[in-house]
Amino acid sequence: MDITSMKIKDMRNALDKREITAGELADEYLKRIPVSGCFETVTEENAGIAAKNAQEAINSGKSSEICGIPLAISDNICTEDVRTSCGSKMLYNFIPPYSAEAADRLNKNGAVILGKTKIDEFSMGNNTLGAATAVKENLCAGAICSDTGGEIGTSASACGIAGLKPTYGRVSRHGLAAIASSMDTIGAIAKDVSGCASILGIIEGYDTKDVHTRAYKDNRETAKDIKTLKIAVMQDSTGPVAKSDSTEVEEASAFFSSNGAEVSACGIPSLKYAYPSFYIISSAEASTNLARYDGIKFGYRSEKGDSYAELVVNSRTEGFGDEVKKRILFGTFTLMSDNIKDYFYKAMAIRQKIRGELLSVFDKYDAFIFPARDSSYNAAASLAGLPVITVGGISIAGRQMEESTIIKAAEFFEKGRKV
Amino acid sequence: MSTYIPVIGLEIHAELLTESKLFCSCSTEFGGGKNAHCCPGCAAMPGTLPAMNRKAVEFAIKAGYALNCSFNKFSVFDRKNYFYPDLPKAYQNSQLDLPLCINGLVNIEYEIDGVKKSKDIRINRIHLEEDAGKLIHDDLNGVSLADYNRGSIPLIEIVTEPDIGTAEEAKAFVEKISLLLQYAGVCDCKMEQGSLRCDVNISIMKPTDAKFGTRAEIKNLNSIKSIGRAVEYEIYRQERTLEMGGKIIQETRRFDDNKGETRSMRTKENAQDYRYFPDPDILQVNFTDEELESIRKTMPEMPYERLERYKNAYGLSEADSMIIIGQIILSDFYDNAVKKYDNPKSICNFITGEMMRRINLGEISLEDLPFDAGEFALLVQMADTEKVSKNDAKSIFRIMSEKGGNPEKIAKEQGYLITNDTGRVLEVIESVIKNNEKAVSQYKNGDLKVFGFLMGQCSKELKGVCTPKVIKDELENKLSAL
Repeated sequence: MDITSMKIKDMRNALDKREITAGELADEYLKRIPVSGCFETVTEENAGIAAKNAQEAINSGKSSEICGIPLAISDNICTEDVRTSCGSKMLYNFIPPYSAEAADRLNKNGAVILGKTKIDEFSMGNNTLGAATAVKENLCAGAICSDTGGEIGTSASACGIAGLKPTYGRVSRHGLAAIASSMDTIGAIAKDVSGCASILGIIEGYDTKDVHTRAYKDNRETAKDIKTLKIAVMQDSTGPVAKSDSTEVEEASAFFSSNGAEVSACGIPSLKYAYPSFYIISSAEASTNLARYDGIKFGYRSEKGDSYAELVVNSRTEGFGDEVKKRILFGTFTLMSDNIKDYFYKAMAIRQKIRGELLSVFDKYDAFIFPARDSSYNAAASLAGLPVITVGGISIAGRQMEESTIIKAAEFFEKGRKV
Repeated sequence: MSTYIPVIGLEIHAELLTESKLFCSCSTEFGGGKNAHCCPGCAAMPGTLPAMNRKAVEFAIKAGYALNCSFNKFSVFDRKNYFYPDLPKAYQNSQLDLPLCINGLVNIEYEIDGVKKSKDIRINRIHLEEDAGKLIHDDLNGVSLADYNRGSIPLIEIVTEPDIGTAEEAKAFVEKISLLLQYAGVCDCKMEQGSLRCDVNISIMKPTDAKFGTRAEIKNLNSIKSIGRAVEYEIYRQERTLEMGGKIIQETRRFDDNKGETRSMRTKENAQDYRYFPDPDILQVNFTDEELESIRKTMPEMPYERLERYKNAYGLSEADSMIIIGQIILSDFYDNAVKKYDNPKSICNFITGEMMRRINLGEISLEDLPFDAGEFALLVQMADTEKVSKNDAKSIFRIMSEKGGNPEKIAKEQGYLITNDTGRVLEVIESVIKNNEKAVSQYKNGDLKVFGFLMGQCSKELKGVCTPKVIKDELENKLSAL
């Protein structure tokens, strides 16, 4: 069996049993990466050093769940001394003097970082994350990526792998180039649910640098068993749902039901406003988060411009792509004093309402499932900061900070479903 | 022209004396190399996040207590969006709708033509925000450089109601605010270093007008003097404009210190839309009554409290007390001196007399005294206990002002120390009487004027041995015994 197609857990076993060394494992990946289009930057040298250190940790018996595992990091997550372009000409030359907290925790726990995977510019497009393609094509065993509005679930389902978007505040956003500060998260992608959970276990937790991070106390050992689980199957989706996805949800609900879970149909009244509200809030926040890229301090600077204003206008005109510009313009519009009540504050009010409606769902249910590519439910989960795990084309959302429940359910589904 | 009533409101920016910046651990120290106090967060690099400096919030609350404000127990931080090279994030974190402090009141006292006036100025709000960096324009090389050392230093903005009517009141208000903030320990109020800056909103109206006139805002005044001059000029400009049939337009103006004039910077049509909205990266601040109370308990003694102490416990006059509390550095010096030598009145007299004289002459400055309060107290004590004469104490003070040093040591070196050697006193007096027979007999014959001469002869010999009073008493005794 090709070792690069292994799941993280099996790979760890192989490393522990000395069937392969961390160095050899990293080399297996590194020799394939250059021919793929998934990577923005390959950090071969760093990977070699990390693999050596990881092997020492393994040999000494003091290794984490991801020690020696070759992983990738999305290119909008800062890595010290390694170019972090955010997929934008604007940051084509940006080399951060610091690492994101999540990246730092991976490094400290022995992960072997192979490089930076491609994203749409500032992860604002609709294309599949480079990291998801890389995992699918056995170019890395797993990755950390940003998720603002369901990018991880959408990409994981497109690639037939697993993805986990954590609760907002479970993983520090420090070092993640901000798009929508109130919804940005850093999550994990891997071949299977357990791989995502292993990565989350390393990157999660309180960080003084992100005031929204919180302590958590859920536990997978004590999480609800499938037989006592109450699952809502969400209906009334108005977003673009691929037919196959709907079928997958039907199959999943049948599976959970036949395995003893209490499954029933559910919906939230404000669902049709979820995506528009998400779009307004994320664009508004993005418009000001992206304002710092002005060509003055770092990043791309236009060669034209005789005044400060001209220089900024030219740098941003040349540095940003169309999708980003569109979102900046739209977001700026929604925050203008004449519009803010009709757009931004209205969206914030709807967000509050949707949170409330989802809380009521959790009064009755432990989790809800929806098609992984459903933009409405992805938006609703982001607005409410819920954790979402994606496997087999479906997404399972749970209560805030109760990742353990949905991880356990997703693992059960992953093992039991017919492939 | 005097038919108009000026309506003036102030916005005062005060840099808080926290050791670190508002959102990171960078130092707030003034100076340092260019961008020496600048981290990735100060440069707004991607993924950097703010972590609110709790001390800054506390200081803003203290400023609120100093200005008799109420508090918003639930307070929100907003983003104020605009592009400028001194603002790395392209938004300033500030507070729009829910500032920390509201509805304050500050009393000002000032004099016009020798008449004392008093007035209450209402405070609309105090909010917490961050400072911007500094731009350095290098005209020689045709470039502008950005220094972010000052960026994100915590600032409070104090906004008054339009209760101020004259340049005198504006100046008195800023002086009072400066004093209160210094006593509260939240700002050093060094206008020359920019730690206290003032914007003036000003309009004029006729007494019969129902509404305020259109206002102009004069930005960034950095001395009490220029606040007064700018207000006076702007009142004059607006009156003249209206008298000539013109209209006042809403605009931002700049004061040219050299010309003593205000100039238009931008009009309302060019005003920016700052797109304020709550910053999702900053937690809202929630205060309980207990938390506010615990901050209030850390308030240092405020000027009016010291005034009461000086008057009631120390028995100082109102006038002397006012002089001492007028500058916190002086008041602190006074308190420290009293701690060393418990004679508040005597120390006050030396301060308001000899010390203020030399300060007013510009020979010494409170910021840079070459002696400390303990040494000063010792000198006053030595004069009080007649270890040196009052006159010699002044001479010792002059030496301390020039070179510093311990007054005891100076007195010894200069021979000012009174030894009260009685044997020596009598010896000298006897010898003077013996050697001035003519004068002594004149005195005995009723010419009392010669006593001064004899006294002088003795004093010359007895310098540093005893006080003139002792000489006088002993000399009189000896002469009457003859």
